[in-house]
Amino acid sequence: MSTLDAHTGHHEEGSYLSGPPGMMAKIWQWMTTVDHKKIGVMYLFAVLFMFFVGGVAALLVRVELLDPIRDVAVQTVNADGDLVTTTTVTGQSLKEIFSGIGMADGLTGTQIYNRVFTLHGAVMVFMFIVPSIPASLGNFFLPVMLGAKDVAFPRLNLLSWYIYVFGSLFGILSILMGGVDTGWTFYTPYSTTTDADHWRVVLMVTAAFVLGFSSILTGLNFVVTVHKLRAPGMGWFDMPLFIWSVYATSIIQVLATPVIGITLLLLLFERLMHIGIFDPAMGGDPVLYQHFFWFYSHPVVYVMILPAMGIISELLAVHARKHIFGYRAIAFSSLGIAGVSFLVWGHHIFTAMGELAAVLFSGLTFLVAIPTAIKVFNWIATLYKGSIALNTPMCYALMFLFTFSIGGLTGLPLATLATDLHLHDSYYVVAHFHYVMMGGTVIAFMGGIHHWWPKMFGKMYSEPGALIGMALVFIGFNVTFFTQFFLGTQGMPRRYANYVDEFQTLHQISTYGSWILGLGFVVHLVVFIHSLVAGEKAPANPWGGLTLEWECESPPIEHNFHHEPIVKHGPYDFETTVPPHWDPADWPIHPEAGKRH
Amino acid sequence: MDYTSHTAAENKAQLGWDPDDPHGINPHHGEHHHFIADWRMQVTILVVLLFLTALTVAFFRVEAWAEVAFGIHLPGWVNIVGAMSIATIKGTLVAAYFMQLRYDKVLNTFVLLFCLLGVGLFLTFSMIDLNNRNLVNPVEIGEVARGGTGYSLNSAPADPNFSVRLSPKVNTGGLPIVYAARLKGNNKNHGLEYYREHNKEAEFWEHFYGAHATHRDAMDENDYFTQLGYAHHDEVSNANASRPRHGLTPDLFSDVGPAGHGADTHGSEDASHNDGH
Amino acid sequence: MSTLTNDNPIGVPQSILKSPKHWRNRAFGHHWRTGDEEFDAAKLGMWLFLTTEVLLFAGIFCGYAVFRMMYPEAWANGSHYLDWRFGAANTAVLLLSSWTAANAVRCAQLDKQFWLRINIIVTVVCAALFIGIKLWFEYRIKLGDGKAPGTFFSYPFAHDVHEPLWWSLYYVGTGIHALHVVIGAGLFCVVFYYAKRYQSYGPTQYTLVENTALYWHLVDLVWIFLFPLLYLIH
Repeated sequence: MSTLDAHTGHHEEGSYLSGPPGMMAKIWQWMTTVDHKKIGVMYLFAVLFMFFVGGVAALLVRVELLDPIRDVAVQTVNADGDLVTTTTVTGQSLKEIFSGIGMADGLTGTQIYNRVFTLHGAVMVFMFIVPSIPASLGNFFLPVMLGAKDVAFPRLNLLSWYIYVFGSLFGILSILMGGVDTGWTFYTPYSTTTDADHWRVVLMVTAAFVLGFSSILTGLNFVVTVHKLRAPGMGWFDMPLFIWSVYATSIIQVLATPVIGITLLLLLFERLMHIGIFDPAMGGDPVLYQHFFWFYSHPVVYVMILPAMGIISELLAVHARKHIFGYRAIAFSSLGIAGVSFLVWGHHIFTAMGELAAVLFSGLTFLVAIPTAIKVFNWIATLYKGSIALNTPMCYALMFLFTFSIGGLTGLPLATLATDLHLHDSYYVVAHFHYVMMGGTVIAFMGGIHHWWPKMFGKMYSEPGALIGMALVFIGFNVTFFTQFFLGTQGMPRRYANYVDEFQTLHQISTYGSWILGLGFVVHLVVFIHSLVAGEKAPANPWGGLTLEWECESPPIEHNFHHEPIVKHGPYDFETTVPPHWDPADWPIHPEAGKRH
Repeated sequence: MDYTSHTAAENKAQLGWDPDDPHGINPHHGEHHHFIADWRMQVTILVVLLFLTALTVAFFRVEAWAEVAFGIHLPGWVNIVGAMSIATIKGTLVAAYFMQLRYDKVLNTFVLLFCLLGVGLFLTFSMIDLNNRNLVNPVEIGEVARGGTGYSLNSAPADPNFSVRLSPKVNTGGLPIVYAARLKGNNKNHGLEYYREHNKEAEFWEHFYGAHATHRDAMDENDYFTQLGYAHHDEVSNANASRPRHGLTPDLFSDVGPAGHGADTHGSEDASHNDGH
Repeated sequence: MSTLTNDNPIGVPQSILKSPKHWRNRAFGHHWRTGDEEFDAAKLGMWLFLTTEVLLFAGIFCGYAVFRMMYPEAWANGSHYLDWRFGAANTAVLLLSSWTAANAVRCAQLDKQFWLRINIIVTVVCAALFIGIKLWFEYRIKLGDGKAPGTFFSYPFAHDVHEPLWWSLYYVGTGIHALHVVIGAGLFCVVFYYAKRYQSYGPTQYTLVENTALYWHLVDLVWIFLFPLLYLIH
């Protein structure tokens, strides 16, 4: 850093990671910090932990579906030649696993299965994927990319992290008490009448309610930050596209999340006091709950995917060394998706709603395809004649284009009313949204983490290791979920612990794929830990990026910049601009940046 | 403690800074003007708001009075549109002047309007769905009552040990909860069962219909509706009719208790002409 | 940041005047270029928060609209059970408090510390009055009659089978609104404490007064719509 200090002539300021001596003092500093970078890192570890929890649940679901034993009495001849009858029941494998850790008391295997897939859904949606990109990478890089010292309301930012932790604790408490089996959607009347003697459902609903506040506060903070804290010289159309997408995300978070608040509040009243709003016995309407729920939960799907799209815009431009194609089209399509997201929630309840509304929602749902396709076309056009470096972030970006396109295109038959009535609640839907959420968001998240890892922690990661992990994730993901399209079209319903024999081969392939997928993430975990412990020191700008975060040191100093940056070039002007911290001696700057074609 | 003078000029002279440009004290602060509301304007707005509150109540009372006194039955939307229009005007005044949107950055107004758009979408689409069920499959009409029947509280929650529920464990034996409550009564009022036991059923129905009789109730087996002279109240139960009522919460004040519903019978004779019965 | 060289001319104790929490001595956040930008940002943030509040209440309004459409009979009866006089009184009380809240902002802007405190006190008293009327004259009497939500319902003279649903919406709607009134009053108490103890709010530093007042106006706005919907529309 000394060279940089000489360059800027400023007194030495430590990296944001350097804290006071002493473990307790460090912990106290992190727990009370209002620095957006520390909060972003804390979010990163928190959501990755939740990803681990939800991922374990997903693997357990796949284990059960590998070989669900039918409810039969099997007669075998034992060594003595006697006929022995053993009765087996569905869910035996889960039952055995949970008996092993002493959590299966009084539950049948199918009950455990219901709880495990609910756990997977609730944890992945509310605790992992909604806060994943905006709260971790967004928190860290949004102010830096804007050239600001912090987000608009730093203390609110810390508060939102604590609310997130607090809400997650409610969820974990519910899980430790035995978990809920309502499905992550908490549909009434099931969620108001099930699990009679326990507060687990109440706890899980409260968790989702509390987590909503965290989401609102983060979104609010980002909107104000984007409006008020752009560096001098940075107009709206000089912002990196990641900022645009996080901005659009934040708008959705602010507008949609309060509705889930009132929905879950009404659900709690309904469950605890039986006020009848969702109970047909008193004239209430369970489908009204579904309207309330999806008014939030559909827009929130775009909360999940929009920041991922922003990351992809960054990765493709930087690692192809090419000005992004159609900057404004991508920026406006982010806002377009945010706008359309509020018009299409009904497609989740086609089978429950009236025909007129279903037709309206079906037509409106197709609108989503337009801005989404605009983005994909622009990304592909960006790659044209680019200087593509096939390193880990770029590979993840290319993988995103592949899997997300499959996910998006398989959505169209679901938007079509006639075909949806057949595919509704089948594995086709499961495969579709995993291709969008996992193949879209998680893949982009992984790409983004690799892209910004050197900046966040000041250490390079092992490129070959990361590439192996990436390849395993790619193979595992597609094996796991592509089979599920076939299962769905053949009629395998979702959320079942058992199936007819014809489905077994495909289910087994899917389960083997999930193991490869899991292995891929383990490889990534090892690579990350290795990087933190023994990683090579990262240069300030390993990829030759032009956005403002590459003007900081790696890792950034406490206040991000030595001087308030003044923006003089666009974020993607690779043809005309020398990247910050550019050293002609080793261009491409870092060998880890990969071989350029 | 308090500055005795209240005009801006005096404050400026006295304090050494300009209340109209408070940020002039900092060299960086000169650019902005914070709007300081004129107290006369604020008072005017308050008076207008109170007047509009009185107006909306008056509108509601006049409508009820017209029904009772002259039998003029205004269509239901008049009531809704009138009340909501006045409320919207009031809301706009509060937002524009008390919340100072009129003098503020346009962005804040935009934020509010955008959010109202969201509210509109939410209400519109939900209502479109719930009001248009079974258009294609008319056979289903009648089999599936929209939103339920109000019956079936006889069945306990799926699990009999539903211990987290704070509400009373109600088993109405197949009746809607309203009918069960009517038979049983509560601490304050006896139920129909009590009146039947004491052969005072007429008294019950007098109280019942006296509040607002629209049609004979299903539980009124002996047709007290006709016996007590409310038959002319009978209306076709039109699902979209909005009927002005009069009177107050029963038993709220001694002078308008159950006995105080005399006004009902006076006016309703005129009203009956309008109903065509 | 904005410490003045000239002393306050009129008898404010030096202990208050020298306090870092006095409005003249308060600085803006290190990540802002000017205090004005911070103020604008805080206000924009507050407006965004208010939109979330509006959308929270949108759930109540949506429930109201849907069920009114489905059960107009029950809804007409329901509004008949409410006494418009209490609703109108509460509306007047809230409008008055909204006015005093706006005045509190004005007083902070003009550094009229005494009247700032008076306005806050009147606002909080109005809030207490609102809650008092609500609890004593509305909830107490109605719950005593058995006009309660859902399975609590036990009023024998109800006409329509769906009336418990009306009471559910009534209690949830007015209850959540009343909760907001309490929160707003609590915020004003905080503002009052800092205004009294440190004179923290003045012409350059009145963000919290402004935002609390905005919150309070929104509570007022919601009631402006709840009042006709519950009490007047039949």
